[in-house]
Amino acid sequence: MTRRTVIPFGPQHVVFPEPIQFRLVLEEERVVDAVPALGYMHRGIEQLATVKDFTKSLYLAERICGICSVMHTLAYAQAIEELMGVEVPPRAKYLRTIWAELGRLQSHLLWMGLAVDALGYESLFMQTWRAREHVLEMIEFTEGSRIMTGSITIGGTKRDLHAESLEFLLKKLAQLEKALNEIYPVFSDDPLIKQRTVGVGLLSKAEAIKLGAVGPTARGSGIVEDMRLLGYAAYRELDFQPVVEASCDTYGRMLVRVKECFQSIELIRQAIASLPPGEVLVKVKGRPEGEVIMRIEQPRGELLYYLKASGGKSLDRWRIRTPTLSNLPPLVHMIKGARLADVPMITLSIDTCIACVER
Amino acid sequence: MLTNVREISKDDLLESVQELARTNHRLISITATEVAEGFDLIYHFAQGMTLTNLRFTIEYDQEVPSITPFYFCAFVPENELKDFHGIKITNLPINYRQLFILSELTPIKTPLAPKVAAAAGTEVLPE
Amino acid sequence: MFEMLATVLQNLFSTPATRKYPTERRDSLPTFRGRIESVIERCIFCLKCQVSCPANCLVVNRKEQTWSVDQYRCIVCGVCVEVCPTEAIVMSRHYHGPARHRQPIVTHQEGAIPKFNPKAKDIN
Repeated sequence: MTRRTVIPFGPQHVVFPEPIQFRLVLEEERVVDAVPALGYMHRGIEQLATVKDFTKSLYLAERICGICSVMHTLAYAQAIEELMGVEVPPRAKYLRTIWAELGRLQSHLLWMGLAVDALGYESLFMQTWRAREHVLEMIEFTEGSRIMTGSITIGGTKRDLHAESLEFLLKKLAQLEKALNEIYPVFSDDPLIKQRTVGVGLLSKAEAIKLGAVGPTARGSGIVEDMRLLGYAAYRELDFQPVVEASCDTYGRMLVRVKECFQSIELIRQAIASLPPGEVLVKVKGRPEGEVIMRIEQPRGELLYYLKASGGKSLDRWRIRTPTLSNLPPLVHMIKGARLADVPMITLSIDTCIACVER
Repeated sequence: MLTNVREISKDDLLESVQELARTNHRLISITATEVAEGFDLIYHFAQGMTLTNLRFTIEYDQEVPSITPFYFCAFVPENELKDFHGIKITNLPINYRQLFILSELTPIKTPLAPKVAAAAGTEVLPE
Repeated sequence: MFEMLATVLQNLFSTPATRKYPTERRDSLPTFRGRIESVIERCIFCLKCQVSCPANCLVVNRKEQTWSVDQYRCIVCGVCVEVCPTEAIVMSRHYHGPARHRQPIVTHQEGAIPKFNPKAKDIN
């Protein structure tokens, strides 16, 4: 009879951007069971929303997560606009799309740096984050701040992009593409990265649907699903296809994110080329009433917002379901049966953002 | 507005969920809102790009069966419901006993359902 | 070995990618949101900024004619700048920097800002 040991994985670990704990039950070298223990980052945001004004909750939505903060603001603003029947001008929709894609770029580049750092490639980590600095400079020049930007508001956007900003964006995009083309061959062809990721953390297509996987975790297993095809903001007028890989392992998920970076650069160029003229903000008066469900595509998957209001100053209920919360059961399934040394890489491959999970 | 909402009764829950599991729907989440006489529960499912919602109301002390026999991933939103609202759910295979997101040291239990907290005698959050 | 030589020479003779902070600093961009400042001559003490602040960091007193901000609670969102009817609040592009004690900055109508008191207790 082999003995079982229990090892705590977390809450502090090199691969985690935020704290979470898994208790791994091991038999010799293989993991037999994994139990997640959450609760390190709970801040009570859903409860605060029932007390604060609905216009001030916009800034609360921005601060749920630091990495994916633009998407939360976008989803909240769109949900309140649908409740109040406000139509946003077309130029504002294109600007929101540009900023959402910039947010997606910086999130994927952050993940790529962390992933190769977990494997030991420290200078590749530095080079990837140097490419990410181009993206952060673009965000700072056009929005005013690197992370919590505060430029999307109910009724449109607060800032406009003039000709000088558009030129700056195009120049920086060219530099970013050159930097990405230098590091892309390492991600796709390096034999050591392939040895650590091919065949590791398998999640078949049927299991991914049954366990509720979303985002690049599901697209790496061959499921064609991308919430941007719903056509919110300006995505209805842009031309793109979801990036899908069929290998069902960590290598496939990594390639999905790297290829999505190139797709984001193309989308930003398309949006800049067809930016319509006009105003960017409409005045909004009154209070929201009714119920709405809003789904958008965050860098990590599908985000669902359910808002319920009945004409008061604050909302009755604001339900946030973030993608990492849905990706936790597939992760527990993938860890079972893996070797102990592969567990950090498998956990990283679903891109955990625990601040979002435990709002 | 909410599209594609099906109003069912609490006893039809397991049959409707079995039907959706057979046609390869994906569970998104479970939402609960406190209303005057109890809770209003909505189960969100998706197939491809379309949403399907199942909706019903329960009273404060009624028990809801767990849907983990058909969707194992439902243990995450169901434990959250127990934590935040104090809803009683039966047959949960992984039961965190109200310590999923809150901890033993939190003085406030069921933060999103102040009437349940007041009935249980624990501290209620100020308005 | 000779394939690496090209990369080594290129890295040896090109400009470094990093800046020698803190002796060399980058000036902040003109659109940067650093901190809010008050132009007290234009203020009419209507209290609109205090009501619309999401972080509750502004305290305006009509009787004593003072306007004060707690810089370490401010989230620099810019709502007060938009809401003010006389443009008495401006967004400056300089970050207010770290401090040891947390004191709100009070601005009087005469324009004088009171001196920093090192013995003041930490307000939380």
